[in-house]
Amino acid sequence: MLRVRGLDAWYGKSQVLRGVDLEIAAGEIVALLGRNGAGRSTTLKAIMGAITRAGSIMFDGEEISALAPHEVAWRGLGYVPEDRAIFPGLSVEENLVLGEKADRHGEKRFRLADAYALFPRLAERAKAPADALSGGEQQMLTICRTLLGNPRLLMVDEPTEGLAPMMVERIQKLLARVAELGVTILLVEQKLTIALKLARRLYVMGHGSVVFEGTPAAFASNAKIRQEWLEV
Amino acid sequence: MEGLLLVLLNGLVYGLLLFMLSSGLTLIVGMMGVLNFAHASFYMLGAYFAYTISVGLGFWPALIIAPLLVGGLGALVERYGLRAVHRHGKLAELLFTVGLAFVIGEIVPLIWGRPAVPYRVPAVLDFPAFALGGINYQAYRLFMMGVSVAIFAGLYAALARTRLGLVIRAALTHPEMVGMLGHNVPRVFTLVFGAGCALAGLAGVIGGNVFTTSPGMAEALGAIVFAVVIMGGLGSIPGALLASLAIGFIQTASVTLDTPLGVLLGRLGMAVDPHGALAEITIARAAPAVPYLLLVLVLVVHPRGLMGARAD
Repeated sequence: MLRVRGLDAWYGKSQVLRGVDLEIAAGEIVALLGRNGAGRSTTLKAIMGAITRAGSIMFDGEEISALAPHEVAWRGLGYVPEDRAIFPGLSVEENLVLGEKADRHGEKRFRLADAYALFPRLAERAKAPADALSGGEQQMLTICRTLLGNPRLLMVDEPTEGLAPMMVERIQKLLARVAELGVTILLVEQKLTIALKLARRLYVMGHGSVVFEGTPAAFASNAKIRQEWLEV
Repeated sequence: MEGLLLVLLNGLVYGLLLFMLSSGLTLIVGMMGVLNFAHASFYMLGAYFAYTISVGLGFWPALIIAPLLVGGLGALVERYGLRAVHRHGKLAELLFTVGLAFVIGEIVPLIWGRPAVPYRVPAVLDFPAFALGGINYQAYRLFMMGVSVAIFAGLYAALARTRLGLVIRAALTHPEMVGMLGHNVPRVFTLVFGAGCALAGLAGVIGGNVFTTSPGMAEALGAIVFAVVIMGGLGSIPGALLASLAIGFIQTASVTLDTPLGVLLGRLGMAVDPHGALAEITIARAAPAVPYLLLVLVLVVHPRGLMGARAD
């Protein structure tokens, strides 16, 4: 579904990604691991077209590396940023409505009612200002907002960061549920347990490049990779 | 009492005109992060276009055509000027708009000459609507008020109730995220820039014949509009309204006060030399400085402006 080859990316003049290669098949959940600053978030932003990048990004056989972010979104890529980017002056429902978009066949499979069914709390707070929600509720809001765009590939950046254990579990269940609906997921996650539980394949990044690719089992048996690129 | 009412009415007209300029500018600043130095130049273009059109076709066609022309010009400037400069950063964008203000400021006298042009209030509205304490109140000023209020009701409804309005409000804080949700943000930028310029143009059309239409008009109002936008808080429309009305009222009121500054300061408990310079300068003479004094005062108390959300 997604094939990234030799992806370079820059913040201003400093190069952050150096030749990143990634591949995700339809229906997979793939985790992207690494320490802070390894380039995981940057990889997602570069795929979305939000920063300066070079290299090849093929999505369903189409080269998308020269497209603007909104064009990338219309091809079927959804992105949930780490900082959540909630629109503060807007209500919960207005935030959700802004994400509404049909898929490339003009269909809306995931609708506002689905989001509310999944998280009744969002329906209860529909008219409240979005910035009045708790951190966990905001995370649900931002994931639902992106899901309303009916993406085929969902890229989620650190969805459980800073959340209470109960909330972490709910987010984890949500992602599993999203995958069941047929949405492919690329997950950037700091918590190894979650990444290993959800993902069938994982990549480890270090210094702006991919340093490991394999199954959770292969990863578990590779102590060197863990020590060198993950453990602090 | 009647004098006070007159000051209030004039302050309201002036404040609403300021708001017509500042509402567009604050949207542009809040959304695109560009402090558009040429904004008041579009106000000037509105007045000159309206003058030329009204000579040929009359005031009413000018009221419609001139703002549309200015808005179209603004959209072209954004699409082919600002967008090209954008990737070189904020400073380049700022310098671009400063340059644009100079260019417009030089082209206008080239076409229309240095002296003020005789752009007049339309005859149908040039009659006293009522008299206050022996002073006639011109019907055209009521018309100005009506146009301003109608525009703001429309603007408010568009921002509050349409999907495009929703996109614009969201893009005020997170333009990148709005784009990644599938909205064509560059196109929205062009639209907002064009609409902001059209509003400035409209302010020129309805204000240029009450004040004067001359090459210096952009400079004269530009600085005040900046003060309004910064005082109201970058990107905040309610803030811009509050600041516009406040500056409108206070400046209009201070023009009419011939109390010496020294007396005012004396009443505030400061020791002032009764024969010094401050005793001779009247509040009316200090009136042009009032908006900026107010700005400094607001920023000292509340650095983000009255209702600002954006800190950078």
